[in-house]
Amino acid sequence: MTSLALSVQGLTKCYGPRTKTPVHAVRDVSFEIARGEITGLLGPNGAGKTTAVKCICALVLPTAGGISVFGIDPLRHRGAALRQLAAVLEGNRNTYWRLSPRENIAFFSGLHGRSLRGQLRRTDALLQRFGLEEKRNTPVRALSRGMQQKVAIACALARDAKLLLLDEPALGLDVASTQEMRVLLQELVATERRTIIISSHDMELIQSLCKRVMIMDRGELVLDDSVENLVSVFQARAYRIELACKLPDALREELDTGFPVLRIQSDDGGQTTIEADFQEERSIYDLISTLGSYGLPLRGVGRQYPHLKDIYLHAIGEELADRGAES
Amino acid sequence: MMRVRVLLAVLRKHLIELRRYWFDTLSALALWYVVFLLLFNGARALVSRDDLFGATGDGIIVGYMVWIFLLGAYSRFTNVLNTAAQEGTLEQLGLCPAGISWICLCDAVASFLVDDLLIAGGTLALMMLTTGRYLAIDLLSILPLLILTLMGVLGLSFLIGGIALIFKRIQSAAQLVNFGFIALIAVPIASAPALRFLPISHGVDLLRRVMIDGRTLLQIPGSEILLLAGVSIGYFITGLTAFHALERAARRRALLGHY
Repeated sequence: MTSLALSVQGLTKCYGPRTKTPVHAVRDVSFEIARGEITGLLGPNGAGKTTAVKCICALVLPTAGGISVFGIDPLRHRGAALRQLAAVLEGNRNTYWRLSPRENIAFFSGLHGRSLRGQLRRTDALLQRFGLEEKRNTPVRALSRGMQQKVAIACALARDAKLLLLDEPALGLDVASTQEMRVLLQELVATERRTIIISSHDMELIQSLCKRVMIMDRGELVLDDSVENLVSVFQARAYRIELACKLPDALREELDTGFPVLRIQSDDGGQTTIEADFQEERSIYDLISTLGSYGLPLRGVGRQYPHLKDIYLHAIGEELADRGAES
Repeated sequence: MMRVRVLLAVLRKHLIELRRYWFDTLSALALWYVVFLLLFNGARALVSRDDLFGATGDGIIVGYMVWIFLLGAYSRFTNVLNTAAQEGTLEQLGLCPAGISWICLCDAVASFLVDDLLIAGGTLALMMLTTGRYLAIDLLSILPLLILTLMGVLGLSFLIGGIALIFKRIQSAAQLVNFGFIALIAVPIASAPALRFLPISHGVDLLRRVMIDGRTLLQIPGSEILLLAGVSIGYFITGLTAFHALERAARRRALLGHY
């Protein structure tokens, strides 16, 4: 038995005529995921996350590259590989709206070859766990968007697959449902001994759920590291400076052009917070002396706990810069 | 085991839908019956009364019943793919280890057992009551012939369904096939034996012999049944192979998720 849950090597998917310039949805992506690992797949819309997920499920056949799900190639042995995985796909209904949550869960676990007796037991447990008991017999059509998404995830869980792929599980949910979904996913990650890949453009969600994060942009994998590593690398260089005044426009311009400022926030009470990420430790002194030259009252300087969002924007920014340098 | 459980899951879904949307089934039955009354009374204007309440009328009844089954096997099948694509469940079906084609096949079996037997059987009973012509309902002879005939239709369904995966909106072409069935049912096999190689026609001819002439399956020459089986299974395998090729093309072009 291999200890790898998933191995993706040189995955490439391009569309369009082969002779003219093809459009690359995914370009030479390689990664490996160990059993039991919870991995986040981040990226803006159109980064290729969904295409990569669908290639793993063999819903989309790649142009080049190899995939192995628990040692099985889904492109050669689709049936055997599909037994190992379940997926909730973005932009799909994933469930039958005419059927109730209970009937949906039973149907989809049946499609995965689960026995009827096992189905019913599992179904009731899932309904209870997802807080869907009251709505167990209501057609999915009549449920809220958040509940529908819960049913879709319950249907995927009911298959008892070892690899769970969740593509944008919180997309299109309102604030309350997103929060509820986050709690549910955290619980899932903590209790289920499964390998899970969650794709999202919501960094907070990924940061709260995953130990490892991969960032995709324009079809390429631009970053792959543990959340802890990424955060600590950034922590060493990110500072937060508080001023007891508003910023003069001239200074704001100087900061924007001369310093690696992440964000500047001014509140109504006349306070300003500057967050900056320094490549070289020294320039924090430059920044402070610049502020000093304007005679601005300094309230505090401290380390900034980085958000994945900054790392993410940074990774994508570097990617764009590299691209600019190439061309 | 996997495949059997998929079949059971699909059957259960059909039973649930039958129970919940029984009015749908009932109105289908009523509609088929009304159309039959129109056809039958229309035929009165063309055929003498003796003929209509004799051999010709019997022919219409058998042909009509077969037509219900054919349309059931054909349109429901392509509907499964169309609705799944429209509703956005097709990709979930594509994740089934047994494959989309197996789910479609299970759906056809479930439609036959749950919906079509009910609708066609009900309509047949009403037709016989209306015309006073009671045909031979020898199920042991009828069912094998009917199932063999339907297998040929499933081949055609697989082909059209596969094309639908790629070209999506093909309802107009799919509708035309419905009328093609009428022609295939009405083909005069007796005058041109080569027509037995068409899908459907030969099966309907044999069914007429059983239901109208009161023959049993054993009284039909074995060579005829073998030919029907060979032709139907041939169409079935050809259609299934085409479906798999088209499904593969759809996966290559990432078309399963789009409508």
